[in-house]
Order: sequence, then C-alpha cells, then structure tokens
Amino acid sequence: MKHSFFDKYSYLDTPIHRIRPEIKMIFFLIFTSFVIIFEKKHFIFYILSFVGVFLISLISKVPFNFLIKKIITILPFVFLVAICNFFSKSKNISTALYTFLNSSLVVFLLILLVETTKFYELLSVLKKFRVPKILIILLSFIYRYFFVLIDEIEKTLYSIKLRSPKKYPNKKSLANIVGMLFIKSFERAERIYYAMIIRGFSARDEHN
Amino acid sequence: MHIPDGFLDIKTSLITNLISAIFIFISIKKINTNLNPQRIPLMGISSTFVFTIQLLSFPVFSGTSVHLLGSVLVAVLLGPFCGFLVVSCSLILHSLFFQHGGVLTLGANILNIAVVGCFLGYLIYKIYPTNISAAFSAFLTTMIGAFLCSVELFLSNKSPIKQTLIAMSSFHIIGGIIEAVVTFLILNLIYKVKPEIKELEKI
Repeated sequence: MKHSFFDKYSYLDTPIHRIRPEIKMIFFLIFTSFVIIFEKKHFIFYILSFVGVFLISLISKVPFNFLIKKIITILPFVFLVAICNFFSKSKNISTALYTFLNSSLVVFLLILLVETTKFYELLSVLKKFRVPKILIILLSFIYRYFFVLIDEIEKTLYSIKLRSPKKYPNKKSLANIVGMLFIKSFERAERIYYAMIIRGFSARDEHN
Repeated sequence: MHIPDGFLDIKTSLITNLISAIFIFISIKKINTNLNPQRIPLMGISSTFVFTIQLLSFPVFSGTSVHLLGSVLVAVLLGPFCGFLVVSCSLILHSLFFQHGGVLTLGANILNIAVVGCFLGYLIYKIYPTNISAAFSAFLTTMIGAFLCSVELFLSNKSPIKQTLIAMSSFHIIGGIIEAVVTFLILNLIYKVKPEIKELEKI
C-alpha cells in the first residue's frame, strides 16, 4: 500500500540539508526561546523573519504552501484565545494577533527543521544531549512501525467494507477496529522481541 | 488540547517542563529497576498504537473535531509508569511531525495528557478496577486536562480564566464522553478476545 511519509522532504540534498543537525536544532531552540520571551515585538522583526523563512524554504526546496497548510493545526487555539479575549472586559484582540504571529513563526521553523533533517540524525543529536536510551528506543519504534499499523487499519477497513458495505463505519465498529489494532500490535510485539534477540539486542547494555 | 508554541510564556513553560521532566525521570528509574526486556518491544509498539489512535479524529460540528487520547487505556493495560512513557513519546513525535503541540510547550502537553491521564487516571481506576471505572476515569481526566490547559493559558496572560474555562470545558465534554465510551468498548473487546493481557505485569 502507498503512504506519504511525514518527512518526505528530508531526503533531498540541498545546502540546508547539509548543515549539521546539532547546529540547526540549537538555532531552533534559541530562536524559539527568543520569540517566547519577548512576546510583543516590532513588526519589522516579523517581516524579516517571515522573509527569512521564505528564503530557507526556497533554498531547501520545501514548498512554501506546504508550510502554510500546516498552520491549520494552530488555528483553533488562536480562535479560542481571540474569542475569550473578545468576550472579556478588555476586548483586546492584539494578544491573539501577536500570539498567532509568534506561533506560526515557530511552526514554520519547526517544519523546516524536521523536513530538512533525517529522523535518525535528530535521534543522534538527542543521544548526544544525553536523552535516556529508552525514550530514543520508543521514538525510533514509532517512526518504524507507524506505517505497519496504518497498513493494518487499512486492511481492516477493506475487509469491513467487503463484508458490510452499508453500515460502515459506525461508532461501535470504530472501537472494534482500535481494539483489534491493539491486539494485533500485542501479538506483533512478541515476534519483534524474538527478532530483536536474534539480531543481538541486549536490553541491559542498551539501557544504562 | 495540544497547546502550540507561543501560547505559553516562558515562566509557565519552564515550570511545566520541569514537572514533566521529574515525572519522566521517575518513570525511567522505575522501569530500569524492574526491567523485563520483553517489555521494550511491547512498549514501543504500544507507543506506535497511541500515536496512531491520536490521529483518528471524529468531526463534532462544523470544522472542529476531537480525537482520542488513549492515555487511560494504555495506563490500564500496561501500568502507569509504562503508559506514561508511551504516551509521552507519542506526544513528542506528534509535536515534531504534525505540529500538534509545540516544542517548548511539550512539558505542558505531557502534564495535561500523560501525567493526568496515566497517573491520576490509574489511581481513579485502581479504587474499583472495572471497565466502567476506567471509562469514568477517562472522562474525568479529559476534563481535568482541559481545566489545566485553561489554567496554563491564564497563567501566561493569554486569555481570561472564566471565558476560557467555559469554552474549553464545553468543548471537551463531547471529547470526554467519546473517550469514555471508546475506552469502555475497547477494554471489553480486548479482555474478551485476549484475556492474557489482563495478567500482564502492571508497572
């Protein structure tokens, strides 16, 4: 089955992709903290940084409308803050506006960071920052097996469609699909464990 | 309920990150001391499971949608400490790949969803461990998470407390009810089809 990978642009080869991941990550963290510490900045700062984001997306060949589309995820929160401020006594919309600008700036940079760095490079940076081993194991598990589980869901949906084309999918079948997904994952975990043992995985060494 | 970056100011994010880091540290210590290597792939695949079900969203009314959290479910199935790490890792990758929640607000999101859902939810479930009480605790922890979320927004001077509380809780009542029903149905199904999951060691 076909999937679109969630970091599909990270395997391109451009000058931005070639920068060391540590440098990109530290730059991202410093910039994000800066944006959050100084909440209301001059509008020239926003113009400059959005132009910068646009330039980076141009050089790294990550399409700009791909970034714009991802803004949808923060919109509900912006509306929440705007509406709540509107109905209070102060009636001040500027907080919501500044929050939206800050937030979208950070979202743009985060997407650029993830889409220009391969996932195993990000994990290796985390390893250098002394993030505990078990967290890294879990993160790499998610990255590898997410597509397997999506495949399982698709197969289940296909078979439900084949057997009962009319009442598909209702609330109860959704709970059943998710429950069966857990059971299948549970059974898969045993097989993965034996495969890992065969390939020389030892939990004691990996952990400490 | 996944707070994006820029919605919390620096003091709130520092405090919440500190609290979540302490919880993660305790859980890792706990898991490393009673380590069973067979548990690692199980935790990994459960983490993938949580990551996947957090992507399934139900439309509520025009445009808005709620999605499952699964933290109480995992805590009941695997135990609070395992469940907490599993849900936290899933939240970390959600913030990286789908921008559901930010990077500096990760602590707040872990606190709202994973700490409340796994530790508090497991405590509520433990009082009288049946599937009904798991469903009840799923509903309760969703509401407590929404409450904490509004308090965090208020602490960082983003919005007034009263209006945010009303908006957040009315929105999350629907999500909480769906979460409770689905948790109940899934637990029933799992214990019926594969009873040995019930005998799993809960850490």
